[in-house]
Amino acid sequence: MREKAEIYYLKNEDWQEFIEQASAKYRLYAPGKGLVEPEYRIYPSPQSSPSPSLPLPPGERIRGEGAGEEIGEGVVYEGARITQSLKSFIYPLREKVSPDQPSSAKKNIILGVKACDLKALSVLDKIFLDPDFPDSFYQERRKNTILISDDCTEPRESCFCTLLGSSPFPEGNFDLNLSFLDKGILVEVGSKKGKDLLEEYKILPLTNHADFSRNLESPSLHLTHSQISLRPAEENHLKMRQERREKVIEKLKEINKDFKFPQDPLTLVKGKYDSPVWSEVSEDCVGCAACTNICPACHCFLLSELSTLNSELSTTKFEKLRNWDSCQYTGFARVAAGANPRKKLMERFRNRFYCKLEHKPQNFKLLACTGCGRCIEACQGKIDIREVLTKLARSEG
Amino acid sequence: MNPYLPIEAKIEKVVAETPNIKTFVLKPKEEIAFTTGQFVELTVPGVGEAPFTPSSSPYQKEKIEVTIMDVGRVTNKLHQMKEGEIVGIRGPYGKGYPLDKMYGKEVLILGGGVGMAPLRSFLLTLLGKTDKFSRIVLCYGAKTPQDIVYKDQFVEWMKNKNLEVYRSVDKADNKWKETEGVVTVLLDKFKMNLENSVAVVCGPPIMMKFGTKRLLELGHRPENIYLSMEKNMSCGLGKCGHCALGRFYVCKDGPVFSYDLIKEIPEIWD
Repeated sequence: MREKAEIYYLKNEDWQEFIEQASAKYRLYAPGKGLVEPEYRIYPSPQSSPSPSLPLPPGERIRGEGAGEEIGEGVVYEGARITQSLKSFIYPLREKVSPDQPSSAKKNIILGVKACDLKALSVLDKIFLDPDFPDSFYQERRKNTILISDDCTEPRESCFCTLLGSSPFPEGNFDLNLSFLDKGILVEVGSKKGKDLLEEYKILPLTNHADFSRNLESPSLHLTHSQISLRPAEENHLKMRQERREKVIEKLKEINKDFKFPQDPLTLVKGKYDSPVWSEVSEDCVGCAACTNICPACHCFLLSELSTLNSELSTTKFEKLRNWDSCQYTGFARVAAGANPRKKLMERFRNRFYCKLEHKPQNFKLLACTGCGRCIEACQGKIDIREVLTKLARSEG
Repeated sequence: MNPYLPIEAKIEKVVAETPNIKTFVLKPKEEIAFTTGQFVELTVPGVGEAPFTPSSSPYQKEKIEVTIMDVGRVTNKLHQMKEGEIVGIRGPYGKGYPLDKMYGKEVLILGGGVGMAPLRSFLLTLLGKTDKFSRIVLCYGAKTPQDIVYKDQFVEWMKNKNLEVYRSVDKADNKWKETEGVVTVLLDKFKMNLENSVAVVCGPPIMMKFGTKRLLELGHRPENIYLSMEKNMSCGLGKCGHCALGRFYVCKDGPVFSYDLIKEIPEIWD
């Protein structure tokens, strides 16, 4: 549990200065203007100006309508989660996991992360950081990544985090979280990693004498960062943040007013395994697995062996790829002798719900759905998980 | 440590058990210490990887034996491999047979076909400390006499005074003098002390289903029936999701489960 929140206030231009400095040392991923909606880009981009100009003044923040304009100009803060989830940065679509060892690559900062993806990270952590068999590739990347999230301010039509007991602002898993006020930013420290980053750039206020003398001895004190300053957030800042957050929750209520979920998210599919609703709602599913691939919490993969036909290497190198896989594919659970526990599409469709809403809570006390709504937007059959759960809630079981 | 990286193992010997089952004697570069019922992942370089429970005794340290039926892409390639060739091995994974819960009890082993593989490892473990068990009964069924694995060892086991052996084949030939019929008919040939016994079952899904059903009818308690639920364990590490069985991952929570633990899961026999 975190102790009393450590929240600072700083001016927009100071934050920009800080990020510019940090981007010299860290590989900085941030949502930038895309053709349809913001997309993750690396800053500073070799093609664009040396550093992102951020944040844009209120009212001019890019919300995805900027098609045709030059790409890569500025970092897009606020808004809602974008399509690419945090998962792909820490657990890439395809990774060679043998015989290679994980490399300690350059440290990353990921900006623009939203609460839904941070929450999903807890599920991935349970799987990949399981102390019995930590996935060293995931572990290394997680260690080398600093997550700077910000409050969701414009939930999309598909967003429904609040229906699952989550919230549109981060409650954990972030290193730093940003809340934008009218003229400045509130920076909440979420971890030692986040605090260390602020300290590294010497923008933390000196809190006691020991810190002060330590800093005096540090040669870096005389670097150029001194113009950046944070000060503890004031009561009115926190009040403003609270009001803004409540407004977003109201927006989410409005977006989701037609969906009726059980009060307790842990009962969403309880006792509904044999419900006729599954056949009905899976009628439009084509088994494409877009829902699981786009999901920030889905973790299944296939280990495959690189064919020696394409390799000059000795046949005993054991070259293995770890590729995202999906329980929605026909052969996912099939064994060599042919037995397949989930032959029917409906069974695979249902499996996704049980995995996320019943098995993960049983095993980890975590829902593996955080209400990000990406699966709703990705579905070729226009299946809306909120409608499925509403129908289930209405059905007799 | 990279959990996906196998170590090399040399194929020291290949024993043809039946027309489509072979036992491979492997010598890993480093010792792989397993408890009976745990499994390993074998890699055929450039082809793929598949899970197998060793059929050898865990007391035999420097070599591991795996008994493999030619059923899929990886096993087909394995069957073409010769002595001296190299495979990859990683593990052991999962939870094996809970021996400590079996001490002092009557142990019934019910196996079918190549499902005898993990059970041989288990049996060899029991035979290494027979004083710890009040009785050991082995029931084994195969399709035809030709399909019986470990033919030579069965001859020895049938002479072993610490072991009662019953065998059946679905379809007998004219030399077969033992039972003809499905393996469950063997269960009527003897009586266990159900107050103090366990049953351990491994075989093809249909045999597991009807074997368990028959054991329950005979009065075996669900918590005393141990099943080897060998699903598609691809990573072995509780991550890839392929071997999900309800809330469990067979690779981590199993592969051995007491029936009691999984009986409410809808898909267990499929």
